[in-house]
Amino acid sequence: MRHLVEVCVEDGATLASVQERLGIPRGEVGLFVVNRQLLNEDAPVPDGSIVDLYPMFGGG
Amino acid sequence: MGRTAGTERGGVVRMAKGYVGKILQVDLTDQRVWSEEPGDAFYRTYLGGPGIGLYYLLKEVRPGADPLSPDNLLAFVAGTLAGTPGPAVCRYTVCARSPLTGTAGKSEAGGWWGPELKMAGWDAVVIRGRSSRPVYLWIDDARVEIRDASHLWGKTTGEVQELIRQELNSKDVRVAQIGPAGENLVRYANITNELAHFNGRNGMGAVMGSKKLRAIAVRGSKRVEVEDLPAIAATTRWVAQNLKDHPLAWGLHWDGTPAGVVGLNSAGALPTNNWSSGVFERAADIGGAALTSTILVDRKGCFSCPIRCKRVVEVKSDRFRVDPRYGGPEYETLVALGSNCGIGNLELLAKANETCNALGLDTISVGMTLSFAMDCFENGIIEERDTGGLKLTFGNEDVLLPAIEMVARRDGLGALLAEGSLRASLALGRGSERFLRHAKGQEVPMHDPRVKTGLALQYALSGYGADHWVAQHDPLYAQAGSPGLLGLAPLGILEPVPPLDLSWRKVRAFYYTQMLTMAYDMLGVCVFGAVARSILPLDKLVDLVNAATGWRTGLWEIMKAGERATNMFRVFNARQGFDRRDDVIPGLFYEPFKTGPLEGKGAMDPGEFARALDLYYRMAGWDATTGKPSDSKLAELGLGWVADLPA
Repeated sequence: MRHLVEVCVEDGATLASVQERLGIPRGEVGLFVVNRQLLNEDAPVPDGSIVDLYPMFGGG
Repeated sequence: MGRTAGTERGGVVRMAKGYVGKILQVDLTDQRVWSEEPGDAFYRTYLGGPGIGLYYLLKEVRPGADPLSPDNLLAFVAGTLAGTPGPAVCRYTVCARSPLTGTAGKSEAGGWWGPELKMAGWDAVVIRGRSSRPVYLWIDDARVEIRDASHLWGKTTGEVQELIRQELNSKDVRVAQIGPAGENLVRYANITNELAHFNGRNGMGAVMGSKKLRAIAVRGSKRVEVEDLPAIAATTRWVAQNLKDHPLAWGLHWDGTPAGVVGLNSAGALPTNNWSSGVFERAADIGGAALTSTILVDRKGCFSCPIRCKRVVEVKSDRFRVDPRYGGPEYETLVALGSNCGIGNLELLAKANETCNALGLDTISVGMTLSFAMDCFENGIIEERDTGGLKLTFGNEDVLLPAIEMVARRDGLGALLAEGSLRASLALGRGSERFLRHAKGQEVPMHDPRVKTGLALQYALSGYGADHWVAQHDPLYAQAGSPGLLGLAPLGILEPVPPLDLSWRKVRAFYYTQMLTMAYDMLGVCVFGAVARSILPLDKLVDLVNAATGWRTGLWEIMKAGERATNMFRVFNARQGFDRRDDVIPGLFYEPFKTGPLEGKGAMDPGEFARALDLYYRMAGWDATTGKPSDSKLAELGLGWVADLPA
């Protein structure tokens, strides 16, 4: 299922804070893909980014 | 046969609880069965699953024993908690020397067979020798019979399950069995129960086939005795009630393991075309959401599990009619046979999954062996005259099903591929080794260590070849405040460790979760039921063990049991000639990704990995040069007796 949401955050905000702003609980997101690049949750989000969040996946 | 008492050393007798107290011993050469009652101290030391399996392998399988000869031993061992009504604790392990890796073999399955064995009054079945004709074992509570299986030989698993149930006049009989692939000694043949649960890896089905044992049918009429039944029931209710609020457990229920496909592809780390790429353009067509919205007809689970993560799919098209009795494809299957072979047709993959399940093939190893062959074909090492006219190219939808059949029946090129990719490459030569992705001869599962370094440690340090459930996966403990990290806090893993970290922090987290995961296998706990991958916390798990056994144990003793079994694998393998030089990962992982968002990135550093291994050996009490456990470590774990094993 794909949902598109626009979020405004302060300069230098991290992916973790974007997740928090969206109300997604800690640990639910396993992969943060920003402008098609895989980043860690503590990475800052550049202005105008497209952020894809994928569920935590640790072993099929 | 009534309840049994376990006898402790020193003559103290205690009632067996949780475990049953009896192990069924079988010699197929002499067609003889007998019972052993090893006592409470034995069960508390080795628990169940791989702990008990490795005990018998160490005692009875001599160095150099051919895995497919009567000299090998095949043990089916239920977990300590299996058969109790606890949540997601139903699993059993099959152990033997692996014909694929030459190491000790170990493969778990859920489903219903392990609990049924316990309810029949047995914790394990230990099988030796070889029958002169096809047979199956019929365990009806205390009554055990070796029956003729000549009429079952060559049939699919679905046919055999029906025939056995008809023959025994009972729909309640649980059947663990091999398919034609196991009969034909395909080195990665599996064992299935209920047609949809698998001891998938390490070729345990080939060992069963070599003994001419087609199936073990079980029916049990007794409840497994426990110390505190209401406490166990309360824990299962707690899981059922809290499942929807736990993102990982609920995700497993809703989309199952296929949920991982699309995210990994977006990140650029989905194994594609024999791992030459991390991006597959048709990933969305074979992912969890696609499966759920198209061919999913039911979600099923295992004995006493509220999570119900298993897929049941049905395809009604004439081209790929799929029988829902065979369950549905997991993440590993959709990737190994799908993107890894360039196949993006979900209905075809559902059919390929059904075919593997009906024939008794491990979907990971067959997918990886076929993708190896596809690379060889595209590079001129295998030609059409070798394949019987099949164009073994990536993405060719017409070849997948015939190729699987060829392997299971050892037809034509299938005879070579049935040996596994490593042996096939050794036979082919001509540079084909550059297309291999294996550790100790077992093909790697569908997780790229270049995005989670702990998987490299899993592949190299596993006691049974490349495997993805040696320890908990890095992302599960990478985020502060996440359920996975909070769940591991009782082990002292308190700070997040990034997926690409390979420092002492990662080695420590790997070591601790390796011991925990091995202990899960010994107890019968499913990794999809407990932390860090799922919902059951460690304090509740310890309570569950006590409520089942009455042992009044703690996490320390349970972790030590996991460490003990890990060392038993290491000792067994050292006796078979393995040492540190075998603890390697495919060279591919030292190269960067070649395509997609991770292009040019991800290459692991060989020096950094070697330092991590060095640290691991010293942390484990193993010699950093040979990789052998020290005498003092073995003594500390209560394994001093292995020094007296005959050479």
